[in-house]
Amino acid sequence: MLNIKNYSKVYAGDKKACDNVNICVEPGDIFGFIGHNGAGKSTTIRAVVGVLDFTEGEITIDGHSVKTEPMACKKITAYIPDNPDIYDNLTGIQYLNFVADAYGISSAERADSIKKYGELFEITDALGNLISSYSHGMKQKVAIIGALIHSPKLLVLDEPFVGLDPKAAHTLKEIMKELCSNGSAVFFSTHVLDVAEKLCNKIAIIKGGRIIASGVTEELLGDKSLEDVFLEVVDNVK
Amino acid sequence: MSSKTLLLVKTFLKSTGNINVLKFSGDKSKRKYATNSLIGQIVLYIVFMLYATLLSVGLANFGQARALPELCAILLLGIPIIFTLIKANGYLFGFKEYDMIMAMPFSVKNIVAAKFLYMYIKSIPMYALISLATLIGYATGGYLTFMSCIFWLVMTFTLPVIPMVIASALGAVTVKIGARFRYKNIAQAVLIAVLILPVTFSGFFFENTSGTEDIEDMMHSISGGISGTATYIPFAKWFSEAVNDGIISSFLLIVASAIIIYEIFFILISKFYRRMNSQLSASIDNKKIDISSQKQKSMVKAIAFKEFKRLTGSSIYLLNVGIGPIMVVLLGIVMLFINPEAIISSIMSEEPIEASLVFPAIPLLLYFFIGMIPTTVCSPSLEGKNYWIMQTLPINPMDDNKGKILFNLYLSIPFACFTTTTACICFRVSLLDAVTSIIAIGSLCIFSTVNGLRSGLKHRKLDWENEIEVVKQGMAVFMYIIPHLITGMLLIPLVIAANNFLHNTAIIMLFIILIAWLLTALAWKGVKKYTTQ
Repeated sequence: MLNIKNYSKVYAGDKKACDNVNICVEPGDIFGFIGHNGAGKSTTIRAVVGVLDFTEGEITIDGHSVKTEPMACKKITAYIPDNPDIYDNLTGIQYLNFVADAYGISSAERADSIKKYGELFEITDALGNLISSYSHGMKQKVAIIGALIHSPKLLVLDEPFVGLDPKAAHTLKEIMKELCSNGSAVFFSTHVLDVAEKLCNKIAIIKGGRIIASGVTEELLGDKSLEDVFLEVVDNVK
Repeated sequence: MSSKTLLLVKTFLKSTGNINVLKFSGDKSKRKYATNSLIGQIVLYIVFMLYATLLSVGLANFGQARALPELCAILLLGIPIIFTLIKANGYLFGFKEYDMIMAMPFSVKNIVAAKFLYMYIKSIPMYALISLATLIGYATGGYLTFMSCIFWLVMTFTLPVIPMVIASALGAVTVKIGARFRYKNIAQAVLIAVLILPVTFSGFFFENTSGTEDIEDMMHSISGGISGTATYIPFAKWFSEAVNDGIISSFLLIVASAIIIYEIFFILISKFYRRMNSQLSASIDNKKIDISSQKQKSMVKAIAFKEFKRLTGSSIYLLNVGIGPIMVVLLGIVMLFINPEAIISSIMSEEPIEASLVFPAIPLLLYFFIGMIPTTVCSPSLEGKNYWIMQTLPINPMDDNKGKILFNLYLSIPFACFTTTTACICFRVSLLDAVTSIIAIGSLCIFSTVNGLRSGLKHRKLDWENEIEVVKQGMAVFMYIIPHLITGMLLIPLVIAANNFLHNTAIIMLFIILIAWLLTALAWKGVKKYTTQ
């Protein structure tokens, strides 16, 4: 579903934010992307979703190149950034309609999705209000509903659990599992190692822009916890 | 002034200015933008100063130099009133970093004073240049002494404080009243427009008091108009007395007034500041919606709707962009009740010309107002931190452009056509002239929209802190508005002259339509070039 091959990103001044990153996310995978602050997680994620241009390598989504076929990639992908800056001047429902229009979702389909996810995240009653009046968590919920509205094949999330209440976090995890059981894939970054350990079937650890450990969760961890493995590899790899 | 206020001001200036970008940014495009922005500002200041210097030296050469202090005072009072009314609310209330700063160990007075001072520092170069230009005119008249020069310079920096404080207070009142409405931003924008329009129109009528074509008479007339106006404004009278007659008490009255008004404002505003900001950010009761009644829209219409909500969601944006259509509509209504011959003969008393000769200039005049700041100039930059949404959704960038264009056409064409129609009725033109005029104004609206988008895309700036940086100080607006103002000023007399020769409105309109479409095609090429794929 998502294939990142030899991806590198060089910022001005020759600073390499990501160096030869290789990641493969298959349909049905919930892929956790872990690393310190500034390790290169968001830079990689933003390149995957077409927000950030990159210097070297190739990123494909369902066989389509992010560089040469961005529209084909975007149609099957959904992205939720770490800080959900969404249009403050729209109401929640207007934002969701806007996103649905962007994906060409019919009136009936969007109504079903908004009803379903609105109720799951307990935000239906606030959808008529301006987004500027929402809390961080509410904005996050609307951004998530917007991302799910077209049943994406690949869901990309940057720190999705920040700001969500415990119930909404649980709901999101269940939705991620449901999506994957339907053949979609989820690629997300997180600092919450417990969540990653329990939720992800594959994990990659990034440090200084380079992948230092990657693989199937069970194989990677063995009988250790993700926290132990993470600290071990991060401390040992220079 | 406390050190905390200064700390805040320094931080505001650093975070929004170009100097920091030039010093620290490694991004070449950002550095280029910052350089261009600085150059643009300097060019604007030079043009402004040249215009003001020419006017003041002209007055001085015709023996009217003693009226220049009054003119300077009127300008230093009038221009800051308009500019501050437009800007103050964005600077003082509901700004992005409000929560962060209020949570820090700064007093409300520190914050308000810092915001006011920041606004003052950003505006004072323009006011100082106007003052300097009139000072040059005054000096060429031979009246300048050492003391009058000192008085003039000190008052240059103190006098604008008075209108800025008054405008800020009026702005605060509009915030307070507007906060009671569900659509706070629209209410605020309407209230500010109501305050600005009389000041703007009084300036327009002041400029047209000459009623003569003889330059010397005109200069006398302007001088008389200035003195007449100054008698109603004590600050202008004191400024004149201080400079022309060396009266120290008048000079001290201005300085003391500025200090007292400033202090009173800050005592009052500090009391209500937190409450007003709370009202602005207060959430409202849940509004019931029917999810199953949501309708699918085309991508272009969906973007146009988003742009509409963006406009109505910001009083600063709404006011700057909306002032043109409002003025056009007012003009349209006025035209229903006036006799054009009477207006023309009052302006050109020596040799009044036929109203039919002036008519072809009407679409250009409307274009001048309505095309002043199209939404398309600002909308690419106003995406700001929301830009990720457009980048990650499967939206063809050209559809985004079309949506932005569509919205500005919704905003401009109906109003422009309305006023053109009332002008046709007022001037009693033929059906052919009316139809070609309406097509001409429509074509000009399309041109200004597309040309605005070209500039908006070319000079897109996404990392702004305050909308004012885009709407009022943006490079895109500057690069669009200067040619717009110059061509507007040149074309209106040119078209009247052409009609004087041709006596055929329809031919002139067809020519305008042709030129407008040719220019639109060129601007569209630019739009395609600067669209990020």
